[in-house]
Amino acid sequence: KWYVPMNLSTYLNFIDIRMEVARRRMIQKHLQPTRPLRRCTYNSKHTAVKSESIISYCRTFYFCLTGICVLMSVFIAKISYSREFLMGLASCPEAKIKPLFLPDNPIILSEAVSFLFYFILVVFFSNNWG
Amino acid sequence: MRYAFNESLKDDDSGDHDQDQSSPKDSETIKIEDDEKEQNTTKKKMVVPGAGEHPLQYNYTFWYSRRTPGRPASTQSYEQNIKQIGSFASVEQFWRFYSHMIRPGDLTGHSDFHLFKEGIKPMWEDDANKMGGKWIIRLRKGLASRCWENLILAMLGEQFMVGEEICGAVVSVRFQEDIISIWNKTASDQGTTARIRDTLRRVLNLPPNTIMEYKTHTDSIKYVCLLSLLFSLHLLL
Repeated sequence: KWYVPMNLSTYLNFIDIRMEVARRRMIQKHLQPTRPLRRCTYNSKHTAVKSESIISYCRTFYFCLTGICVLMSVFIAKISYSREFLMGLASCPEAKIKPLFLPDNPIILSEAVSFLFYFILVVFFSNNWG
Repeated sequence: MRYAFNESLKDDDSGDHDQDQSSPKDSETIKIEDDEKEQNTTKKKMVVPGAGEHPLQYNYTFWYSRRTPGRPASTQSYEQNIKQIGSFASVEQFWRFYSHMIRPGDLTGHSDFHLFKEGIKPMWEDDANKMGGKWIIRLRKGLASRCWENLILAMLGEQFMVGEEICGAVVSVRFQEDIISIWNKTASDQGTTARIRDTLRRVLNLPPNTIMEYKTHTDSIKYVCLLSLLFSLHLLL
């Protein structure tokens, strides 16, 4: 069978208990603001360290990237010369030295061809396709 | 019949058409192996630009080949005929070779000059060439030297602007005409071939009505195979 206390004392006791719980809750709520303060101090230090390291990483990355770009530009960039520039080097003394170990062949000349006469011919006939 | 066959051989283009697709004889094989060894040892010795010289984007090798026109192509190996002259890595080194070689216009008979990137043989079967093709320009006699020089200067000076597509250039001296051609790696790349054609027109200062022909190496191989077959049949009959 269900037992239901119906006397007043029991009822009052019940109200007291409720009040006590409410007070506890209030105390807990009152202590809460300390947490964010502590957390804030800790976080500020941590983020400061983090941001410094991120900046240093970025710097390192930037310098590495720049270095790589410079190296890439050296290796990837095409070495191109105009026809006039190449023709200009034809008359330099280095170009007249006979290469070593040329095969013994009728197409090999004993002396270098003079490009001056040839160059004049080329200029003269440059647009003459007949 | 024989005359017609020989004529058809002569009329083909760019000096590489007489590559023999049949296997060489045993005595020839030994010689070829020796040649390959020689070429391999040459390959290992990579040329470098000298101090103060102007480096080129790639190292190049000059080759020369000559075939007796009267003799049928099947008795000679193309690889046996082709001789390596030398490799260079700078502008100065190039002129050293070039100024000590006779001009294509002064060549006699069925001769070819090849200038290819170092490591690429001027053969269809080379890995760099097998998927490629070439632009061919037929020239009347007397123009080969100038056109050849303009062509190779454009190639060495990287005027084609097609990345690593260019393999090399050939000038072929024939009986009635001379042929110059430029080989590239990818025949199916129409953008690249079009750019090569346009640059070729510009650097050679070709008139607008000049006929330029593009030929894939696979087509060239098929053509030679067909000729070899016809020649074999002709000998049998």
